[in-house]
Amino acid sequence: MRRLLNLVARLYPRAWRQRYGDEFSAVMEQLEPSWKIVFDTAQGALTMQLRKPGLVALTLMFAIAGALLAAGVAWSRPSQYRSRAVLAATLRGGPVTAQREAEFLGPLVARVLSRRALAELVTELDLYPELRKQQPLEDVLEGMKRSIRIGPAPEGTATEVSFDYPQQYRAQAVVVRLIDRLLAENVRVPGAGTLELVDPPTYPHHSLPGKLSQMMAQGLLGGALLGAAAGWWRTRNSRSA
Amino acid sequence: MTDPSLLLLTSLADGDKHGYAMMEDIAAFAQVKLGPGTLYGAISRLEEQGLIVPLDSDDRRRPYRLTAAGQAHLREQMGRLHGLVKVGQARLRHA
Repeated sequence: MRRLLNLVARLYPRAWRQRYGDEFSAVMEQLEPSWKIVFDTAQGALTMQLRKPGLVALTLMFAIAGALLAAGVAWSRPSQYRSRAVLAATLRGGPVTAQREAEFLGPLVARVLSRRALAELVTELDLYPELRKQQPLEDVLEGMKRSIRIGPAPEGTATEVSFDYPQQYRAQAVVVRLIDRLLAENVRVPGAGTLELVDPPTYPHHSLPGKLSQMMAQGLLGGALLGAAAGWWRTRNSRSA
Repeated sequence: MTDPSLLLLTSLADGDKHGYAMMEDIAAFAQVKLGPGTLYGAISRLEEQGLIVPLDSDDRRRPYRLTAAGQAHLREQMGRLHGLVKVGQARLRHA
């Protein structure tokens, strides 16, 4: 118990220990150690750390605050649902290589994701109603583009089309429209190959895995760096004072 | 009355004392056992406020003394407590 008490006493800030450490130890030596005294000492150390936080305390405090802030932000965000479809490309005049497939799909994708095409989708399906009241349409469309993925599917040589949105049926409806347009464009301008639907757009029953832990880790790290910088600045200033 | 700062100032009002002596004195006159964390939290706060000062000492047990500001503060607090006691007693008589 005595050893634990000495350990807890070391939780006081260094500057405090330099000033009061000797006399504090002298008082402790005259006391019979008990859990009550251990808790009282721990509480005193914590209070002192919070009153004049040093580098370690500031780093810890900022890290915890950062993680909590990030958790709050993560919780306040609506869940996202991903609808996904898979297309297969058959290319004329040779095997399907990643480069040939990209050359074939590139112009199709550019037309399907053009500003006009996306603006039509937004209006038709009434996407992002709140965001459109706050931001110019260009910004909304840029954000929408980031939620769309048209690229190699993890399984084999197929192409995946996916869209993330807070409502399941709208996520699916967007992928349905994107697939329709890709196929229609392929028929209109056949180019070097043919697209074929392998897996139809899914109806997402479950939201995407939350990014809570990832965001909390980022908040923790960001807060710790900020706290360390604040602690360093404070220590530097107190030394030069 | 369990405010550690007030107990500590009251203890020093009848002479200089080091930490352990204050704990013993407070336990005797107020029946309050202050822990070392609470005691030294109050000591560092009062010293910062200029209400007590540390005295030189040959050993590790550094004594403290009440300053003039500390006496004035204690007097003011005692006056308030006295007023509170009077009101409380008067109301209890009519209760």
